[in-house]
Amino acid sequence: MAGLDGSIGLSGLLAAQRGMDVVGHNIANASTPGYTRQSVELTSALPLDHSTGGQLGTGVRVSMVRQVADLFLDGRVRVADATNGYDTALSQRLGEVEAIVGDTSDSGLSGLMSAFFSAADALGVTPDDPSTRVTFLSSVERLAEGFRSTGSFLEASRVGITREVEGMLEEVNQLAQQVAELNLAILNVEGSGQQANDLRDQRGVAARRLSRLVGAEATQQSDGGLKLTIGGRILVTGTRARPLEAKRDADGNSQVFFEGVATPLSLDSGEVGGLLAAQRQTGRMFAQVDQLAQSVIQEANRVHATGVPGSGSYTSLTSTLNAQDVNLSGSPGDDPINGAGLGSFAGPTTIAVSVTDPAGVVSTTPIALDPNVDSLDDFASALSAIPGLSASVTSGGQLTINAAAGFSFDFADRAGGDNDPGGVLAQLGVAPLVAGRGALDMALADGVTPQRLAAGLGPGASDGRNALRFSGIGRGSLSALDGEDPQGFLAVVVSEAGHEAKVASDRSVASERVLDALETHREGVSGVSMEEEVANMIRFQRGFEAASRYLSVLNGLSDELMRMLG
Amino acid sequence: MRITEQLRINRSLTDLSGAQRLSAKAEEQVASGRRINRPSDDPFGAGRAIKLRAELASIQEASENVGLVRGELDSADGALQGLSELLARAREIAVQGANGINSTSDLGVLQEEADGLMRRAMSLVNVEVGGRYLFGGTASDAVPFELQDVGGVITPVYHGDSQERVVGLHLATLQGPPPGPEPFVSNGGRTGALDALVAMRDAFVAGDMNQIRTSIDGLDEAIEGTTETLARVGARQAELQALESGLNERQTILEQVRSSIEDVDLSQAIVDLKDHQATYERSLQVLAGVMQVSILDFIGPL
Repeated sequence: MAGLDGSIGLSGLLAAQRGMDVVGHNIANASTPGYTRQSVELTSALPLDHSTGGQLGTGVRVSMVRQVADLFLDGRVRVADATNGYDTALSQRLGEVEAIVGDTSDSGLSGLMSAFFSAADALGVTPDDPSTRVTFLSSVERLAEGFRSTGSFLEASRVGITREVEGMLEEVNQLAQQVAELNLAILNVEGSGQQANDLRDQRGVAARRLSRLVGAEATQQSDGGLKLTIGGRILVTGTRARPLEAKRDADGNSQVFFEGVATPLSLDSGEVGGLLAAQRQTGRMFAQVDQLAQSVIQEANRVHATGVPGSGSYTSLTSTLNAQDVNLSGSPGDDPINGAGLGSFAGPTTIAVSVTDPAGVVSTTPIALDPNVDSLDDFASALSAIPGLSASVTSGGQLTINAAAGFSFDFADRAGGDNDPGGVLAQLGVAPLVAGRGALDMALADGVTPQRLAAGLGPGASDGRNALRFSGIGRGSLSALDGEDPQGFLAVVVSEAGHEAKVASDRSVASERVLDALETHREGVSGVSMEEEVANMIRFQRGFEAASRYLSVLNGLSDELMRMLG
Repeated sequence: MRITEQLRINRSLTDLSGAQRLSAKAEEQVASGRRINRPSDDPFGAGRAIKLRAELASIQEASENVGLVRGELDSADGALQGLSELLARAREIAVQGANGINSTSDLGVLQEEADGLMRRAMSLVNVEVGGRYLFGGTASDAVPFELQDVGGVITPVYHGDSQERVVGLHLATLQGPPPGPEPFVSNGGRTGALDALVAMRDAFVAGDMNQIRTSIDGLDEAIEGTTETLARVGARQAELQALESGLNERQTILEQVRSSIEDVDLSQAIVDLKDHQATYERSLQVLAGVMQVSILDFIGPL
């Protein structure tokens, strides 16, 4: 009797034990992320050829402990995770940005602009009331502050993304290294014919996280290794990983490179990709807010320079901005006005200069300037040619205008029209209302007091016509704002911000649903089912009990034989 | 398909967070009363709302300024009416004085009244509202009209400018009370009211019948001029009135449009909120149920 040695029974016991081990392992890992359930594959052991005819079974054998996985499904989960990572990161960032830009309360940009224009209207009605002058100036201050805080928030958000991307790339590099190391470990284990199930799970978790972060795509290789690529370029192959790094481009946006490679990666999935897209979007939004701030500064200064201050016409004026000696001639005054480092928004213009003589008679002289051709010196000499005025350019590049004793001058059109349509005075910083070049440094100009505020176009105390020009900025379509008025331009910016945020948030909800559906599928295939495990446990328990009983019967038989011998 | 415990928990959690999201959104709408709480709620609507709010703010400011301008125009109107009545009375006196049957004492009384009228006219033409002299043009911070007395010779002078006061009301601009010197002080055209009054008073002082008679022509011209200016002020008042009702109408319409874009339909929102809350509660119940039932409860000790 071949079985009398008990080896068949033993194989049954061992198989049941092994089955119980796997059940226990599955139950223990039921909630482990990325765990793939395992099952014991049993086959009958090699039979013996028996001399008396036929083959005899020799018991059971555990052929392998198999992972129950659908590799195709795992791949789709990774892709969905990468897409969702991108959408979620983008949506979250844009949500923060739109809340700031789209602040429709009184303290939002739109509310502050309205307050500014309303204050201008009030100033127009009662320019002789000191309190409306103070209110107007404080509305300018608050608007400038609103632009500064919006601008610096957008900038800070961009800088924050850069840091975050750098942190994420550190994690990516660690994970890639980990995948490479696990590739080696799996190769070693499986080279000896065993199954490295749990190492594969660990590697799967790392690869999944890499997909979520940078959209890495995984390919299973024949030797058991996992190859990871980003946009077709290799991140991990075999036991080697290539590190990633982030650099900033000319616009201050981050870009991701493989170390030592000059062309940046275009990341269109993964959280890092989403962050980079959000950074570009935030940058565009900042540029628009900055554009709006610039237009408001230029227009407000143009209007203010061509009005008459409450304290009366000027007797001397010095421009606040310094022209640069760009053509290196030794003097800053001979560069064209648009090429002297003062900005170049000014266009061809005519400036009507009104000079009041000691008798109170006003004479007006027009000066035509083309800022692309004419220099500051040209302007100064044209001014000096007017009786009662002398003008010069300082070595520091400032225009100084002085009136002779008893004379005074201003650039206001007494008839109520527009003066200096090209904005040359604003570009030079002559009698500005607002200082700064954009959203980040906008402020009320130094020295603008309620008395120095130019609310009128004549010396009259209740002449509020220039104030009306301030409120007219809010209604005029500005070419620097693509033909929109300031509020209309802001409305477009806010609409765009809202639209981008909505698209991103809709997409992130949709891709999360896809991810959930695929996860559910994967869980259905590879997840641990308690019921199933308990049923298997009972099965193996019974198997173990039966095999033990078989051994004990066998033992009884042996005893019987021994007694016969005894 | 195989259903595992983890899968059921995950599904319930997904449903739960979905219900929570909808419920939070509905809560926010009901609490804020607004349909658009951030631009992405309705990007197009948010953009339109910004423009509407800007226009509403401008109209709001204009409505406040309408009151100020109306005050000035009404005061100017009152002063001009007063002046016109005063000139009519002056004409009566002049006519009475010129009939040649007055005793010296009668003339004395008339002269006294003429003098009084001249001085009363000064307070009318120098009318002010909140420290602003209405007929002084934009140089409204100084008394515009003065009777200069040089050695008993009285001459009316004007210190203001001829600049119309222009105020902006939303999209329109409107002129305030017209600046002097006319119709109060002669300026090459008709005789000014003050000039006419001074001439009449001088004529009574001189006791010259012819001079008194001539002064009637001057008073007639002054009445004409004052009536014309009164009509001009009246036209501006009418314009202001029309502008104001236009503003009110536009404000009502814009407010409705803004509300339809931004504000939430409260009854709808509350129904939605209840609905989402109910879904949320059901999801919670299901999740609790999933957690409770397990095969382990049904297996005795093995």
